Parts: sequence; structure tokens; C-alpha cells
Amino acid sequence: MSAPPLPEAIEVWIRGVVQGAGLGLRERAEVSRELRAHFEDGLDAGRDAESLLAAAGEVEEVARQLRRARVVGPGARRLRIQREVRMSMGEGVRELARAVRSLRRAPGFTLLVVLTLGLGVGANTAVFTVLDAVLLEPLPYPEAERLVRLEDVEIGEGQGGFGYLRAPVVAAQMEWGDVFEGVGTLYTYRELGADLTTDDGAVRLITQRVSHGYFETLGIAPRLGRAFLREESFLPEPGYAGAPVAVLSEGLWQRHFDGQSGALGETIELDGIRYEVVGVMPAGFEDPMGGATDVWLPQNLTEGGSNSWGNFYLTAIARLRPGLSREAAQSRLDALSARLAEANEGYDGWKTVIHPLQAQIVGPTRTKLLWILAVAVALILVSACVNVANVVFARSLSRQREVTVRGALGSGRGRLVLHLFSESVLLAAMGAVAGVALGSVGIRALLALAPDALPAVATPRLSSRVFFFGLASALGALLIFGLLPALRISATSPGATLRGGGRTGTQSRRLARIRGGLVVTQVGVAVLLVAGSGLLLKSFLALQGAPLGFDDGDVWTVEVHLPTSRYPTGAERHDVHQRFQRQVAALPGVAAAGAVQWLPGNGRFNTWGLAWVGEGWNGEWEGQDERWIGTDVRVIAGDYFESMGIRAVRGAEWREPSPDDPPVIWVNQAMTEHPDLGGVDPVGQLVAVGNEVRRIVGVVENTAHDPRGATSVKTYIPHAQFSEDRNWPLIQTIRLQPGVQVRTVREGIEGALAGIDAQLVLYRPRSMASLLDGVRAQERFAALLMTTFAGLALALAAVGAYGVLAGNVARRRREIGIRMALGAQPDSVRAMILGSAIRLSVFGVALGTGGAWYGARWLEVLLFEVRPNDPVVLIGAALTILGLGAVAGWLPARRATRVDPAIALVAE
Amino acid sequence: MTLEREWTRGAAPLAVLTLLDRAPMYGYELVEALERGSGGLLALGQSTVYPLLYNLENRGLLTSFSREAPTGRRRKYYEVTETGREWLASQQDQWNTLVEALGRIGVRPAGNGDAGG
Repeated sequence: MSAPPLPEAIEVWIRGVVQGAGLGLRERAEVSRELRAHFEDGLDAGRDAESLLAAAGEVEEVARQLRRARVVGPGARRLRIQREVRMSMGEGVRELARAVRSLRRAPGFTLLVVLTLGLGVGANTAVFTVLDAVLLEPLPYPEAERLVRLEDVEIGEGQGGFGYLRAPVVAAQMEWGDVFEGVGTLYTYRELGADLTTDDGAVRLITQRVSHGYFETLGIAPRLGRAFLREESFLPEPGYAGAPVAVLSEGLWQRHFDGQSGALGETIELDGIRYEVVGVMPAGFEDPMGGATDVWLPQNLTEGGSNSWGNFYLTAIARLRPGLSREAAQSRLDALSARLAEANEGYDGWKTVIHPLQAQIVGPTRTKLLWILAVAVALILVSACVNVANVVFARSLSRQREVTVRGALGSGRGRLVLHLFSESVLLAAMGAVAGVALGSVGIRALLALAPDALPAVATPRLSSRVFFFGLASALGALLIFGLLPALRISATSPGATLRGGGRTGTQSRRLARIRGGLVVTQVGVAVLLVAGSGLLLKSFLALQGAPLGFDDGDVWTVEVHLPTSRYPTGAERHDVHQRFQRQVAALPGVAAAGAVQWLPGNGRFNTWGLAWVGEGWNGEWEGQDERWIGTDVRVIAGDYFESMGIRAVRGAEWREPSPDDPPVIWVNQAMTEHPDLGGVDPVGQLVAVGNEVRRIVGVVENTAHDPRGATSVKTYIPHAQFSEDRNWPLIQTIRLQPGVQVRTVREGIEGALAGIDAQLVLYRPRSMASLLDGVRAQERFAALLMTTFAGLALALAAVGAYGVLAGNVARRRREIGIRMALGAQPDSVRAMILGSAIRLSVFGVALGTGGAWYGARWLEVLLFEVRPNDPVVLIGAALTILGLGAVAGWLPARRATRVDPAIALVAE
Repeated sequence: MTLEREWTRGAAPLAVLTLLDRAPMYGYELVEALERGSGGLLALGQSTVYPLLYNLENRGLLTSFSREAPTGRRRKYYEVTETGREWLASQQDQWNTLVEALGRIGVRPAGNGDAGG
């Protein structure tokens, strides 16, 4: 039944009573209905509105009575609590709505805070995501914490022994069942290649030689078929290759066998050798080292030949028995190693140690880098929070009068805090959303920057964990920086603020000092990060300028492999390479063409040895230990030295010999300086390398095997005199004439190869420069990221310093006005403000420089040819920040000189 | 003559419960009944009556129900509960005791005084 309208005065009275009584929604409706009924009845009875209202009493009084009526007697307590909760919830919602309105009225402030927080949280989210994926997230294998890498160390030599193991040692380790649940090997940790014969010609595949037990140790079973059997890794005869069986990756199985289960038992032809397919690994399976394997082939571990006690070439991983701690495992391994050494002279003085597999994959440098970046972004978040705190603070201050009035009128402190805090909560929520959004962009940027800087098994993605991290950091930041000002202001005495007309001298000075302190922190953070990035940048530049012994400009490389099935003899293989290189060298725009089996700057590989055997060597390696020198073997063809810009030092100039010439080699300068030679000139000496005695005929410059310029003894064997021995793929090194783009000659190169054999593949084409970029990726990644962070920190500090100085000028307007009225010159006013800017910067710089001095040692492992306390960098960072402080102070200082005394003094 | 506020307030629950004990009433009816029945002396007005009704209801002495009033409108009626009746009885005793006590010291009920009845 809809009630007839009552006179307006009565409606107003009822509304006033009901609203003033603080009732819940239902109660409110009920009471209002009853009061209306009362007035209706009165009017029906012929009384007029005035007399009814007069009899009804004062609105406030009735409301008060109603409030009290409901909060006595049994059940009243519950009622009261309910009502208070309802009221404060209603209050909270109202405050939030009020906060939304007031933030909408201040879009500049809101945008500044949300963006600042967003940047801080975003950078943290991105770095944390990567950190989480690389360091915190376990490897993608079941119970991955039990996985270890095995290493052989020479007792007494301390840690950091030989990463590669010998086949007989691994065979023994496989039997140590009371330590390991499983042991498996990879053939080094670099991928190998093979040509798969298909109907459409040869396809280059990435193969991996792994032993029996490899998949079982990782804990991932084939999705189809089986893994390798023990007898497939222990053939009757020694040699690298195990039984002719293969396990395919899911991808290859789909491509080559259309995902048919009939693939099991079928054969595939790799480099002309047929392998029976015995298993298919599930999609997403990745080797812990290396990666993107197409085919796994069994490794033979039978002792003898290459599987000797002297040939270190296997990487072994193992799974510890459940419940066995690493310490307990190690002590058992010590005993087992000693027993193995007793039984085998070849292991005398050696022992097996274990390392957590994850740490091995990530590496100590990368771990440190990630933590340093994490600290850097955390500092940025702190700096961002300081800015947010400063603007929130300033805003709260400007509203202090309003808040104080509310306090004086009886608002409780809780409600005042709620009022101030609701805005902060809202800002935090928006900042977190912005941060996670920016963070997800940042992760993509990080991954684009650092494809080679992160291990392949780690796949960073925005997880819920990361999302909550972002949310928590934004909320935490604002809890601290929003609640503090709220508490502080709500605690101020109303009288002081009101009497002071908003200009409470001591108090605002104290607040200004707090804000100044915050800015000092910020400046310190900026110095720290600028110094850090300066070190990393300087180091990276040094790295890029490090002499490598070869000229990487204008060199284009591509791998060519000749299947043994169609090129069974070394002579045929050499002929193909020679024809190809000659044709390429004749192309317009090409300066020189050669080839090598392993490019410089790309790590050590094929580290063999050579022995000073002299004439009449009987082919026996035993007893040659005394005259043994470790050397990286490089098989070269065509004009390799010329194409790479490697200069001859002395002896014979490079000339490609014929296979029938007496065997020759070239060595690098490191060989001539090797201490074991005792100053003997190696040129003209006979050495045994591979299984042949060759004469050293020339010396060339050292080349680096890593971007830091590290070098090792190198032996260059002409392919012409090696191709019979092994069928290694050769990487063609093609030097273009200066200014020539590779695309202009690429067609000619492809045509040359196709003209020789249309089935051959130009595999992994890339420039030498891009290869070096790849190996410098980690350093570039560190320098770039740190520089970005330093830029952020600088911007934040500048904004923070500017805000505080501008605030100071505003606060001191009256004072400045008085000074100027009394005759102060603009110059002295400007100097006063700039002085306070410099003061803030100097304190911050002192703090930051101290921190940088102390903290730089953490960076040391990442630095190349730069000392952590590089004075140029530290001074540069300090000067940058001081300059920035002056710039940040300039605008406020200029504004100060424009204060009009007349206006400043009159204005309230 | 009007009663002082304190007296009114003290007597109001007893008066309201006594009236409602005779017959359930809705708000306006009760206000009118109080005023008429007391000769205008207990004209409590909404400011006292409604809060009092809620208070008594809240204490379980009254209960309410909705019913059509003689005016044809639906009204919220209040009636005394069993607890209310017990409470009323005890208050009645208190009242009697008070009157008796006052009488013993010479405070007599009106009627034999100077006002004339």
C-alpha cells in the first residue's frame, strides 16, 4: 500500500529522525513507516501538521532517544556491535567513494602516484618473475632437488675441478647405488648435429648423445616406447657411439612420423647411419643442459680407446637416493672414490664431488647478477615509495585544516585515519594494477633482451605468485607511506593547526625535515644505482673493446655438414669444402672464405692434447705424460686465417697443404710461451696430435675463446690432412668486402653450395658479430638493465628533490617576502634555495657514495677490467647527482625570486 | 499543572504497559490514550513513546504484530508479553510500596489537599 504524501515539514522531520538514529536499513524502513503512520493518524484525526510536529519533539532529541532505545537490554550488545560494524562498513564504502571523487578531482596527483608506483612495482614484478623462474622455481623434473651434477676433482686442488668426466669413472659411479638412484651422461654439454635423410633431402637435426640411465635420472619417461637399455650403453667394443637406436623428441616424431605410434621399430638415417626408433619423449621435455634436442642417441661407455682414464669428455648428472642429504652423500662418495682409486691407478688422487644441478645450470655469476638486479629494483621501489609518500604527505598537509576541523567537531581518530587512508588504499590498488601491467610488458622486454642470458630450462611467466608479489609490494609501500602521514596528521592537536591558520611554523618545519630526509635516501639510492650502472657500462665497453685476436667485422658464418653416407672418404669431403670456398671467394663482394670446426669467442671446445714426441713415434701414448700439453684443436680449411683477420707471427704463412704432403700444423703464440717448452722454439718440432705426428710450421696470433679475451694454446690442423680421420661439420667463415651487405652475396653463396650438392644444408647462418653479441649477452643484459634502473632512480630522485624544494619555497613564501621587503636581492634568495638543494644532494651523495663504495664488491664478479671502486665512476656518479640536485633546485629557486613581497605578506 | 520530565519518564513504562495490558494498541492510539486517560498529564509525545516502545520490545516485554486498524489502514500493534506481564506486576508492587512508604511519612495522594478534585 503506497502511503499518501505527508506535508513536507513532516517528511523532513521523519527523515531527520531516521537518519540521525543510526539505524540499519531494515530498522530504518520500519521506524520510518511507523512514524509516518503516526502522523497520518494524527492528520486523519483532524489535527494540523504544526501541532503534530510540536507534540513530536525536536528531531535530534527523538533521534537520540531512538538510538538509546535500541542499545539496552538483552541482545542489545549484539545489536550494538552489528550496528557499529554496519556503520563502519558503510563508512568505509562512503570513504572509498569519497576517495574516488577526490582523486578524480586531482588527476595529475593520481596519475603521478599511480605511474610512480606502477614503475616501481612493474620493475620489481619483471625482475622477480625472472628470478623466480631461474632461481626459485625448481627445474622441470620430478623431485628436482635430488638432482646433482658430478664432478671429478684432484684431491688437494680444492674445488673447481674438471667439469667433464671419463667414461670408466662414470661406469663406476653408476654402480654406487647406496648414493645414487640413477646416473646418466651427456656428451659434453654442447649439442651435436646430424643430417637426417628425408624424401625432401637432408635435414639438419640437433642430436644429443646420452647414456643409459639419463632419462631415468631426470625422472621423465618416454611417452612412447622406452629409454636406452644398459647394453646399448655398454657395447662389447669401445667407442663413443652406442647401439644404433634412437629416442625422438615429440616435435621430430610429429614432423617426421606424423605422430604415429607405428614409428617405434622404424628406422631413421642420420649421417648415413640407420637407427631404430625405440622411444619418443613427451612434449616439453628439455635437457637440463643444452636444449632443443631433436634426437637422443646412446652413448657408449665401454672402457678402451676414447673411453680411457685420460679422456675427459662426459657430463654426468645423478639423482641422490631419497632422504639422503648432500653432506651424507658426499661422505659416502669420499669413501667410494678412495676405493675406486685403490683399484684403478687412473683415478689415483681424484675424487667425485656433487653440486646441485640447478645451481650448476644457473651458474654463480648469473645467480649473483639476478640478486643484484633484484636489490636494484627493490631500491627503485623504495625511491618510488619515497616520492609517493612525499606527494601523499604534501596532499595530506594541504588538507590538514579540513581534517583538523573534522577532528575538532568530534570525528574519532579512527575515522580520520580511515578517511586519509582510503585514498592510499585506492592508490595502492591502482598502482599494483599498473605495476603488474607494466611488469608483464617488462618481462617480455627482459626476455627479448636476454635470450642468451637466461638458461633454456627456465621459462619466466607471470604467475599468480608474481601477481601477489606485485600487489603485496604496492600495498606494503602504501601501508607504510600512506598510514604514516595519516596517523601523524590525525595526531596533531586541532588547536595548534587552527590557531596557526595552516602555517604552523615548527610543525611544518619538522615535516619538511622528514621529507628532506626521505629525499636524501632517494638521492643515495640514485647514487648507488648510477655508480653500479657506471661500473657495468664501463665494464661492458671494456669488454666490447677487448682485443680478441681476430676481426669480427664483416664476417658471416654458416655451418656445412657432409653426410658420411654420400661422402665416405676424407678426400671427397675436403674436395667439396675446397670447391665451395673457392667459388664463394670468387663472388663479388667477398674478400676471403675459409672454414673451421669451432669459431673463436665461443668457448673452449675439442680440448685435446699434443705430445712432443720427436721422430719415430711408435703411436703409443703411454709414457708421454711428461711431454704433454693441453691444446684446443682447430681444424681449418681455405683462407680461414685471412677471413678471420688472424695474423701470422712467424714461420710459414698459411697455405692449404694437399692430403699427401707431410702433415703440418700451425700453433698460436700461447704455445711458444708455454712454460713446459722451456723457451724452445716450437717451429719445426714434431708433435703427436690426433693420432698422427705432425710438424709445427708456423705461429699465428692468439685468439680469444671468450669475450673477455681469454686464450689457450691452439693447434690448427689443415682439414685436408684431417678429413679422413673425422667427418666434422665445418663452419664457413666468409669475410665480406667493407660495406657489402650479406644479403647481396647470400644468393651467390646458396647457389654455390646448391651447385655442388642440392641436398646440402646451410645451417645456422649468422654474423660473427651476432655470435659475439650472444656470448656477451649476460654482460650487456646487466649493463643495460642497470642503466635503465639508474635512469629510473635518477628521475625519481629528481622529482622527489624538486617536490621537496618547491614545497619549501611555498612554505617560506612569507619569509622570503619579508626578506625581499627588507631588501634581500633575488640572487641571495636564489642562492638560499639552491643552497638547500645542494645540501640535500650532498647528504644523499655522501650516503650513496658510501653505499656504493661498500656494495661495489658485490659487482666484482660481473666486472671486466674495471675495479669495483673505480674512482672515475664513483666521482662521475656523485657529480651527476649533484648536477641533478642543482637542476631540481633551479625552478623552485627561480620561483622564489619572483615572490612579490606585497602579495606574500598580505596573503593569508 | 504539568509533570516534571523526570516523573514522566519514570512513570511512562508503567503507564504504557498498563494501557497495553488492557488491549493491544498501535502508536498513535497509544499516544492518544495516554494523553486522554491521564487528562493530558502524560502527554508523552513521539519523542518518548516510540523509543520507549522499541526499548520495551527489545527487552522482550512487548511484542508487535501488524493488523488493520479501525481506520482501515494497516498498523503495527503492540501487546504485552508474558514477561511483560510479570514485569508489570513487579513494577506495580514497587509503585504500591513507594506510595505506601510516602504515605507513611505523610505524603498523601491528592484528593484531600488544596487543589480540590
